[in-house]
Amino acid sequence: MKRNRPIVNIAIAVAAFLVLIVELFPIGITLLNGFRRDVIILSAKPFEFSQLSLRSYELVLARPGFVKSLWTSVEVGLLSTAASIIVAAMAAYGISRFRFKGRNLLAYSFLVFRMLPQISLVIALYLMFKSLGIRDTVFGLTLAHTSFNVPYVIWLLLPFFTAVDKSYEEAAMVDGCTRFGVFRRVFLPIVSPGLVVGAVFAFINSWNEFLYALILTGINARTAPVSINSLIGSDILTWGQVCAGGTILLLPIFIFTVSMQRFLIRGVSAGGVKG
Amino acid sequence: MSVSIRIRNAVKRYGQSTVIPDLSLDIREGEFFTLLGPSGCGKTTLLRMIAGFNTIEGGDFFFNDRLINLVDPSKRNIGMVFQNYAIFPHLSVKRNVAFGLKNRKYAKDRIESETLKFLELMKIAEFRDRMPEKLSGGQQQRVALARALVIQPDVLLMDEPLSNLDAKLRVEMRFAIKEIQHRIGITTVYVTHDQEEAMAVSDRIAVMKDGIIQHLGTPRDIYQRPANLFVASFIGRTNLIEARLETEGPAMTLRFSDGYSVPLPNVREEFRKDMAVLASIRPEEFRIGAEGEPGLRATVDSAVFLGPNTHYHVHLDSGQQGEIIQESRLDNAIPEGSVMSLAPRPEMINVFTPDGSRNILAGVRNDAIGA
Repeated sequence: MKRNRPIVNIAIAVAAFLVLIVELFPIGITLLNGFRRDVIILSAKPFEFSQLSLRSYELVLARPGFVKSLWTSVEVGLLSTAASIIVAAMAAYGISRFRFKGRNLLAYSFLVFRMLPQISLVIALYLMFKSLGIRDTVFGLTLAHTSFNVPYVIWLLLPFFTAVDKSYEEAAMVDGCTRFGVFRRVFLPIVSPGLVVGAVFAFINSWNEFLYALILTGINARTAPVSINSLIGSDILTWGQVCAGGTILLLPIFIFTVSMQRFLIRGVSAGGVKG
Repeated sequence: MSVSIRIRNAVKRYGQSTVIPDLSLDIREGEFFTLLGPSGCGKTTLLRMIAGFNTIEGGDFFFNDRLINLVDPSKRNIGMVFQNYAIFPHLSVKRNVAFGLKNRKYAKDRIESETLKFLELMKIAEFRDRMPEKLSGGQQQRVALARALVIQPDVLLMDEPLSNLDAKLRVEMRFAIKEIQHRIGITTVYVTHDQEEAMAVSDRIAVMKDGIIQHLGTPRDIYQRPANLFVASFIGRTNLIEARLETEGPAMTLRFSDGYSVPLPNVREEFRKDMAVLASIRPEEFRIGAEGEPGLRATVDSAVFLGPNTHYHVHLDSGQQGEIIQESRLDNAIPEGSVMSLAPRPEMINVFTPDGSRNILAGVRNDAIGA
C-alpha cells in the first residue's frame, strides 16, 4: 500500500493539472487574443510572439461609450454593493438575533427570491422602471442589482452572524450600549470579514450581470458587459477587441478575489471568546 | 456605590417548562454572594434575570428600593464577567476597558486615567496595547474583570468566570477576584457549579436545585449543618448511613444497624421520637480504631495515598460502601483487607429525615426566605 503512494500522488497531481488547464484555457485564450489583431485571429495562424500588439486595446478603448460603460459598471457595482450590505446586514442581524413569528419563512423567502430566474422578472421591471422614469439610469440599474444582491448577501452573512457569540452583545449592553450601538460598534466590526466577503460577491454579481443591464439600460447607463456584447453583434468580427474588453473586465475580479482570500481564511471571531 | 438586591417571588418559564417556580432572595450590600448548583438548577437563569437579559415571568427585582424589572440592561449600571470573557476581539486591551466609559461620554482625560487605574489594579497595564487574541486565558480574564469594574457598577455579576482556566490558574484567580471584590466592596453575584470555588470566594452561598434555593448561608453553615440531604451530598463528600433515632427517656440516641450507637443531644423538638433516619458523616469525621473498639465495623477495600491525606474505600458489615479520609502520617497506613472500627465524631454527624428533605438537628442556619 505504502509503495503505491507516490504513484497515486503523481496521478492526482496530473489529474489536477489537467483540470487546471481546462479551467484556465478560456481565460488564456481571451488574454492572448486580446493582444492579437482581428485579422490574425480570424486567419487561424499559429501563435508567434511577433503577433502581439496593443492595437485591439487601443481600438476598444477608443470606441465611443466603452470607457463610460466601464465607469457605469464601477458606479452601479459600488452603489448596489453598499446598498446591499447595509440592508442585508440589518436583515441578517434581525433574523439571527430576534425570534419572531414567520422568521424562518422570511429567511427562506429570501432564498426563493434569489432563485427566481431573472428573465421572468425583467419585462415587469422594464415596465415598472419606465413608468417610474428610472429606465436607463444608474439609479434604476443599481436598484435592480440590489434586488438580487440583498437576498444573496443575507444568506451569505447568516452563518457569519449566527456564529458570533451573544455574550459580546450582552457585554456591550451592560457597558451602556443601545441595541443599535451594539450592532454598529461591536457586532459589525466582529463580522467584518463576513461583510467583506459579502461585499466582494455582491460587487462581482453586479459587475458580471448582463440581462438586466441589457434590457433596462440604453445609452446612458450601459454597463461594460453590454458594451462588449455590442461588439459581437455588428457586421465585422472584432474578436480581438472583444477579448481585450473581456480582459479589462477580468481585472477587477482578479484583484477582488486575491484581496478576499485573506478574509476567507481569517476566522469570524478570532480571539475574544474562549472555549 | 454598592446596592442590595431584593428578589421577590421570581418566576422564569421557557414555554411550558418552569425553570424557577417561585424564588425570593436578599443579597446584602457589598457581599460576595454565590449561586451554586448543578447544571440546569437555574443559577445562570437567575443571574441573567438580574442582568436583564432574560425576561421575568413573575415577581419583582429591586436594586435597593428601585424596581428594575423593566429597566434595560444598559441602564442597570451593572458590570458583568462572562464565562467566555466576551472581550471585544477588534479592540485593544485598553479600548476594551475604556469602552463603557466612552459610552458614558466621559471626558477624554478622565477615561484615560480611570482606564489606567483599573488596568493597573488588575495588573495588565503592560498589555494595554495588545489585541485580545494575543493574551492568555488568565490575562483575558483580567481584562474582562477590569472592563466590568471600570464603570463603577452598583453590582458585579460573574457567570462561571473561571471555568475556562486550567486548575492552577483557577485557584490563583479565585484569590485575585476575592481580593479585588473586597477592596472595592461591590455587591457581587457569582455563579458556579464548583463547590470548592464557591466556598473559597463567597461570603454567603445559595445552593440551588430545580430553581429552588435549598440552603442559603455561609460556607461554614452549608458545609457543617446542611439543610437537607441534597446540600449535604452536593457540598463536599459524605457517607450516608441508614440508622434509627431512638428515645431513651429524655435523651436521644442514633443507633446504626450493627448496634453501635451515639448520643444525639441536639435533635429538634418536633423530631424527638423513634424514627428511621439517614445519617450523613463526612469522610474526615471518623475516628479510626482497632477492631473491637466501639464503632462501626468496616473492612478496607482499597487505599489511595494523596499526600497530606489517605482515602480509604471501605464496606461496613451491612455491605454498605463508604469513604473515609485520614491524615497521612509516617506510620498510620492501613493495609487493604484490614478490619477496623469507625467512630464518627457525634457533633459532626448530620441526620436527615428518611426522604432527605430536612435536617432534624438544631443549629441549621438557613437564610433562605421561607426556610
